[in-house]
Amino acid sequence: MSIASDMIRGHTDTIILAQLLQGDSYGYKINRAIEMKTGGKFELKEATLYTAFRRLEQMGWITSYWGDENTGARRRYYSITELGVENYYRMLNEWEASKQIIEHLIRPERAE
Amino acid sequence: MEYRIRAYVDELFEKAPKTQKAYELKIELTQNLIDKYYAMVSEGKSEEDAYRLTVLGIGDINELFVGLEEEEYQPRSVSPEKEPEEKRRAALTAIAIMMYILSVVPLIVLKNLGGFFETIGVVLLFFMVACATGLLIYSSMTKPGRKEGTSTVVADFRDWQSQKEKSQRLWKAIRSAFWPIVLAVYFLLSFSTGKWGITWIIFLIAPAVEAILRALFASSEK
Repeated sequence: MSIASDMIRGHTDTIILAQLLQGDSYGYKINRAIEMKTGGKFELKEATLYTAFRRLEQMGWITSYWGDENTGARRRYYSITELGVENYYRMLNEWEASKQIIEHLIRPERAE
Repeated sequence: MEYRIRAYVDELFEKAPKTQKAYELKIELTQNLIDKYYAMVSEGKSEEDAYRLTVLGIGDINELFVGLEEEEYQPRSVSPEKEPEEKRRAALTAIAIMMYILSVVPLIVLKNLGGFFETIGVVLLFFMVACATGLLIYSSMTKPGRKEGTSTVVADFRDWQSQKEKSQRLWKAIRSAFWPIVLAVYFLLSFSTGKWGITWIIFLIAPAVEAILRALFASSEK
């Protein structure tokens, strides 16, 4: 389980961008969606999530703004930029490529 | 239970650098943890369990703080368009001051030719002083209040504050031009009349004029 988490952590950025592709969202909602999607098997640590937000924002892949809920709870929303979309698809392609390579390498050579 | 989460985050952030970014992160994190906590409670977890799971889920907070410290040193490299802006203003100010100093030169040179040329000298002096003053006022009026594009709780407050600062800045701009003008007028009068013995009085009158200007400015602000 912890090995799987380590593997997934390498794709934190892509996972977050994938969530933001579906629309603007905030920290908890994103993590909640990730948890639901994996049937409760995986969720990001807050520290990892917010570190990723800041990194992505610095690179200009996402932007943030403060929502104005009337309830008094102010949430910071994130939204993906064009640059973010571009990079999302680039990383998605990279993942597809490495997935194939790993798929090959991870198994013993088949006897012909 | 909500206050326990707040208290926990407060404690975590005691080690954090005291920056605006850290403060905003704290607000953001607290709100999201509270959301998470209530979601767990509504799913049927006990308050204690929900609290424990919420707090455990945060992970290694130091990971977050490392970035916050770095950002303190970064703004210069992050916004490269800011530096040329500062350089431009420095250059404008330097040119303006140079013009003030040089403004008396034409008069000194042309004075000896007398009559018509002396008038040209005076005109040139006024022209240069006017240009220099214009430059100074322009450069201090175009001073950006803060970095654009940051939309934050703290920035909202600053916006409100800078409304007030704007009028103060105008006054500053006027005042920074005031004394060079006084100096220029002193030289102008002295050179054109030759009565050096009496023209120094301008330096007694000038502070009075300045005080009146300030009073006028303060009253117009209200």
